[in-house]
Amino acid sequence: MRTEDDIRAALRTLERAAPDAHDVLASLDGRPRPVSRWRVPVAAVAAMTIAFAGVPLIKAISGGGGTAPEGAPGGRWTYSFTIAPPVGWKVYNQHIDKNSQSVSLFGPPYRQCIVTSFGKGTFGADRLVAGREPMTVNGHPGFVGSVRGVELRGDKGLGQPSYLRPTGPVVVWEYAPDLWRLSYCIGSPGDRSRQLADGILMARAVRDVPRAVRTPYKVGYLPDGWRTRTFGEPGAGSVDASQSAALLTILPPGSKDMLRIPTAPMEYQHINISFRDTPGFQPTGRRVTINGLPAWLSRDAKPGTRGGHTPSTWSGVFIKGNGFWISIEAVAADPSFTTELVRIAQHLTLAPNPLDVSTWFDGNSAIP
Amino acid sequence: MTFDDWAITRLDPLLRFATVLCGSGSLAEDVVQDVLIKALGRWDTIQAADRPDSYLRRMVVNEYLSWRRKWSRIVPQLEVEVHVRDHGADPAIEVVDRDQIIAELAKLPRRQRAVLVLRYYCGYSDAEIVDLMGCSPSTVRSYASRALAALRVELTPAPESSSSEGASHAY
Repeated sequence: MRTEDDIRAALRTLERAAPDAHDVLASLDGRPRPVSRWRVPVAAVAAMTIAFAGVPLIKAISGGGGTAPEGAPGGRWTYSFTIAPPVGWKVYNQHIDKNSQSVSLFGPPYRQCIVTSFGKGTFGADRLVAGREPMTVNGHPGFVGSVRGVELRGDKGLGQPSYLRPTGPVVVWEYAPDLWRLSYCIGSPGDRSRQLADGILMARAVRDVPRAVRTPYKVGYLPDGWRTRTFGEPGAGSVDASQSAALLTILPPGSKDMLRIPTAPMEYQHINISFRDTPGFQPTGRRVTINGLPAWLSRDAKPGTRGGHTPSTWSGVFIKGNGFWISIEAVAADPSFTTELVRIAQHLTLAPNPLDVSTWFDGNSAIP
Repeated sequence: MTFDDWAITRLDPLLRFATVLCGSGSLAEDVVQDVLIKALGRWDTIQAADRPDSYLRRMVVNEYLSWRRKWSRIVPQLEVEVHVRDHGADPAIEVVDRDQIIAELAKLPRRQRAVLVLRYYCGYSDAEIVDLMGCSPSTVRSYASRALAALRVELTPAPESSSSEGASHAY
């Protein structure tokens, strides 16, 4: 049952889709004003230049082939950077993908910023259009701009919610030849100056110090042709009790990626492996034992159609450890896909103490 | 306050309100644009009002409620459709459920939706909503009750001490 607070939260989420005031005002240009001239104080012009008008548009960021992120000498599952959160800010989620690496940070009150590092060829100056404002970030050349209509990977496994997309000012900088990073903050159009200030703050908190992802499980089996695509971590040292951590997404043969909202049936199919230390979690389904641990097998009674795509079946294997759960869930066209999930479960190796992050595996040896 | 002075500081909040009301940024842009065109023609009256923001907010509500022809062609769409199931406190599910609420809000009749937005987004009392929408208190309560039932919302019991205050709601 929902509460009134759920309604308030949903409405607050909606407001983030508000259009630019600049666009609305531009539509009124040329109309007679009740005052003699359209006049705006100089200071306001300067502020609005930053807020709406004088900022460039970055046409697109995602998509295309691209190579794995560089600047990550430790391997594919190594972040090319670390970020020291400014006072009052906390790393909420970290995410590594084929083409990008992102860190989400939360700060008071209800502020969220995302720093993304792109792989070579997936983002560059050619994505910028005229009007950008030059700046430097830790000695590297960059720009203040804005991004529209862009699809960036969020910190969830099923595409990025629209309210996490960069709709306000962004900071982009070239930290090495043909390697770019992006920093932006979420907020309503009225908070643009704060979004920009926060975005610059986060950009300057980035350090070129590589760091391998950490995972509480080692993956020893994948279905034929399926391949790992993304991995998300909680903030360092904060396996939140309510948070699904160490989320590994695996995609089927022929699938391009999950950066965008699914547009084809194949792109919707996926497997998610995740770790959670939620004691109250209790799955339903058939009780089995996997590698000596209690587990539950669950799946939809019949295929469903999601987003108008080809009918597919959700299935899951939930393994219960001492104070934690490992979930292996899939949406796949094959209704008997649960058997593949069981194989994945049987070939998982758990860290010595999954509740202690310091015992987790280096992702480069644990994730194929 | 000139229209330009107002627009610099107050247009953003009005656009956010309109977006929540309409459920779509693009529709909100159209609605606010139409409202501002009208407002330009009677700015002397608006700026003389006690609360110009309230006046314009009322205009937005009226524009939204009366915009039958255009509205009928615009149906807000969820960008991601997923099944919601009980997975405990997984934040991804919370996000999905929030999207689900937004989708269900979009399906509500416009007057019901407007009442919810005025109550839960703007924090208006029922009396203020009555004044803004120009309908009776029982009608406002009825709209709210039906909308909350459609959204399967469990009401938070009102504190006893607040029963006589204007901001409390009689469900």
